[in-house]
Amino acid sequence: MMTKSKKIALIGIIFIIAFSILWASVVYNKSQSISTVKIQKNNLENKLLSVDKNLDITNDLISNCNAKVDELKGRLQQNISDLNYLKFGKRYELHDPLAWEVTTFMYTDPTNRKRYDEETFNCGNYAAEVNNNAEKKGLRCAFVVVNLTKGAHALVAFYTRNMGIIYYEPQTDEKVNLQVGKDYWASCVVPSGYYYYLPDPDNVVEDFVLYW
Amino acid sequence: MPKSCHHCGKEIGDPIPFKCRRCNEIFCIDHFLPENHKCHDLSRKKRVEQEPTKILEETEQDIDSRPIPKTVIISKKPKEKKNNTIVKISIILAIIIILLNVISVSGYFILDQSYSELKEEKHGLEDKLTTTQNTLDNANHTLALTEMGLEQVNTSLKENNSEVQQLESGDKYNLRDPLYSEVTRFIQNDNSDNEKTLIDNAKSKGLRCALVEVGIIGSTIKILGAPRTGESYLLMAFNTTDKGMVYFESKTDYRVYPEIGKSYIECVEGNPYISSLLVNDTITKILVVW
Repeated sequence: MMTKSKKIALIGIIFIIAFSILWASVVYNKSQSISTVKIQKNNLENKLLSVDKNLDITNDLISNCNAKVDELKGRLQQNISDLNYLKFGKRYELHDPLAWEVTTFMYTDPTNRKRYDEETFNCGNYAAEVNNNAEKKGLRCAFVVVNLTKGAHALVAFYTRNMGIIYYEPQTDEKVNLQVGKDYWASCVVPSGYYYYLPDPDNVVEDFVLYW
Repeated sequence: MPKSCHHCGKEIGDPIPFKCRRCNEIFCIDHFLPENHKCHDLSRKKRVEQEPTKILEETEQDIDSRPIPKTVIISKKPKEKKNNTIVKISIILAIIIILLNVISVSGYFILDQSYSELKEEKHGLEDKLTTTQNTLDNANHTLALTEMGLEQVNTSLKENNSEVQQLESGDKYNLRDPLYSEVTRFIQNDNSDNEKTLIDNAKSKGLRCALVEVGIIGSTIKILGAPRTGESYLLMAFNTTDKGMVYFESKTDYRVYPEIGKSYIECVEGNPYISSLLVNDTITKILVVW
């Protein structure tokens, strides 16, 4: 016969065992949860690392892009400013004139009326002014430097569409038949009136250069 | 009321009387075993098991003279011991189990704590991940916008470039005043060292360019390397749209800042020429021929 105390002890042991089993299952569940959470944590850490890496890459890309944008913006700014300068800058449309255009121009151009001065307004100034005035009117004109036996001289030339190249003496508006080896004033310049120029051995044309 | 032994009639002083399970009578400590009080139930059973002759031979005296309760006592003691051992083992087991439980409970609390910590860390990581992900999303968005901006700028630049190229294009009949950058580019790339070729090349590219004659007082000694012709220096000039007039020596590509009344060599950028007292190169005139 089992006594009451034994019964109580037995029940107690059973209870303790049951409790232990229950507790063990709880602990097991907890450890399982911990393992799960640990795995999740590891996954999260890995994901975070990967996202961080992506973020770094993206930030680098942004930096590069921004640098490129800045560079391009700078270039664009420069281009816009260049474009404005080009748009509003003066343009010169020149053309090779017809002979009559040159005659008309030379007739109307006032340069020949200016007073000659060796120091302040010499042949170079005459030729330069006529050349610049012609180009202002759209006529393509050349500044001609003639090397003479002694010294140099300057005149202008036009390449006419109908009569080829023609030279003009800008001080007198006379046509010039420029030829190397000939006296410039006496032989090359074609007088426009009933007069002639005296020959001078210092004025023989040695060579000439056209600056268009 | 005091009870007496059913077998010997002796008054039973024990607080708990012994009761036979077979005959349900009350006995003293000496007669509580069935064999000791000649339990009729037992004798009946024995009678069936033993030979009837032997049962008959056995007298009451024999039974009395039988040396026994000893066997009963002997048989009773191991059972109690066994019971005690079981109880002890049970108690030990219970203690061990309780101890294990205590350990497991404390372990559980440690586990629970680490679980909580892990969970907190996990939450922290999740938050961080969310934040980082958001940052990444924002960064991606920014990147997309930046790339879009880049594309727009590129497109604008291309359009502008083509417009610039269109505007830059020209020939000797269509001239324009260039930008300073164009002039420097042109001078760097052009290898000709005489004014005429340089001017022709510039004009063939549509760049308006002038021949400049810089007149000086004069001297019989020429400055080595300087582009002097007679009593003047020949330069080339551009009227740039952004920096105004710029002058260059065609042979050396030096930039010159000619000014009437100043010594020519002092007007050359970087002072590359050595001045001489014998040379009077004061500028007297600047003639620009376009």
